[in-house]
Amino acid sequence: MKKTFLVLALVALASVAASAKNYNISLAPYCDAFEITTEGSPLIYVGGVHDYSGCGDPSLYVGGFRHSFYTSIDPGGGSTILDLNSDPTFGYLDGLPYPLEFIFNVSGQCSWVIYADFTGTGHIIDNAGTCGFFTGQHAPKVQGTTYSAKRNQ
Amino acid sequence: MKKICLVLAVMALASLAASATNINFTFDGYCDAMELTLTGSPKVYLDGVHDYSACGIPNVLVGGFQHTIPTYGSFLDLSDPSFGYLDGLPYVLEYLSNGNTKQACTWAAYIDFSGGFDVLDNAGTCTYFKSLADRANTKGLAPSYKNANLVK
Repeated sequence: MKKTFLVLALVALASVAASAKNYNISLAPYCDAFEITTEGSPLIYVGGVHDYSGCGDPSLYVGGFRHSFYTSIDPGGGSTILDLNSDPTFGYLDGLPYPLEFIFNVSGQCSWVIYADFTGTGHIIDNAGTCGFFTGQHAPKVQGTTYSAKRNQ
Repeated sequence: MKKICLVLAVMALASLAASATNINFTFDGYCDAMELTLTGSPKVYLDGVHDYSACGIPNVLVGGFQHTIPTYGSFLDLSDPSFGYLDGLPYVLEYLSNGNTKQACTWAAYIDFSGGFDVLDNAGTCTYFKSLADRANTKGLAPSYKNANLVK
């Protein structure tokens, strides 16, 4: 009986390990990056770090869900997106009461789009671009200190 | 020609107005509320205010999308800057609600304290209201995102 449970536990662990996928994403020419992981069965949980080490600012935790969406939402045309719904950058780094949401399309050419709401009357595109993948702990250093989320609008 | 343009503009404005849906609810047992608007075609854009006026702290703006999560269904999915703005903490705060379904109102708040994954911070039922005058008096209660068991 114990052996059966052990086998089942090993199978379950192997399944979780197999389903997890890491994405290290550089937003160059911006100084920030993301190190995120998708996990779960179905593969819907997304979590990780918004890495501001290249900007000289503290890094922040990010989380959200992987889900399908209208391709019109993502300028890169992704139909399955990593939706980092609640990025605390504006509130924590800038002291501003604004929501900030990053959406990534990692299924083809890596692309991203940021939605923000500066007025309480519209969740609008704040910035967008293409991205690249990197290996290692941090993204290659980028010249300059501008980060991708355009605050102070 | 001018008349046609005017008619088209009026029709466009009417269409926009018709497409907006207001969704207001209080969190049962807590002092805060959400006053949201769902717009767009398709109607997926969500924005509004996380109203902390009854809690005695500043309001924050919220935004997000209505979308479907596999196995869980259709949700209002909101990005909320409360932890960063009100508490100076670098944590994610995400609210999900079924306020788009016209069913009994429920909500869940997810947080990431560790850079791992979102964990369920708090959840409960909510009550819709149409105008601020209809809103229940919730003064003296705690805000919904402050689950004493999880918030460090």
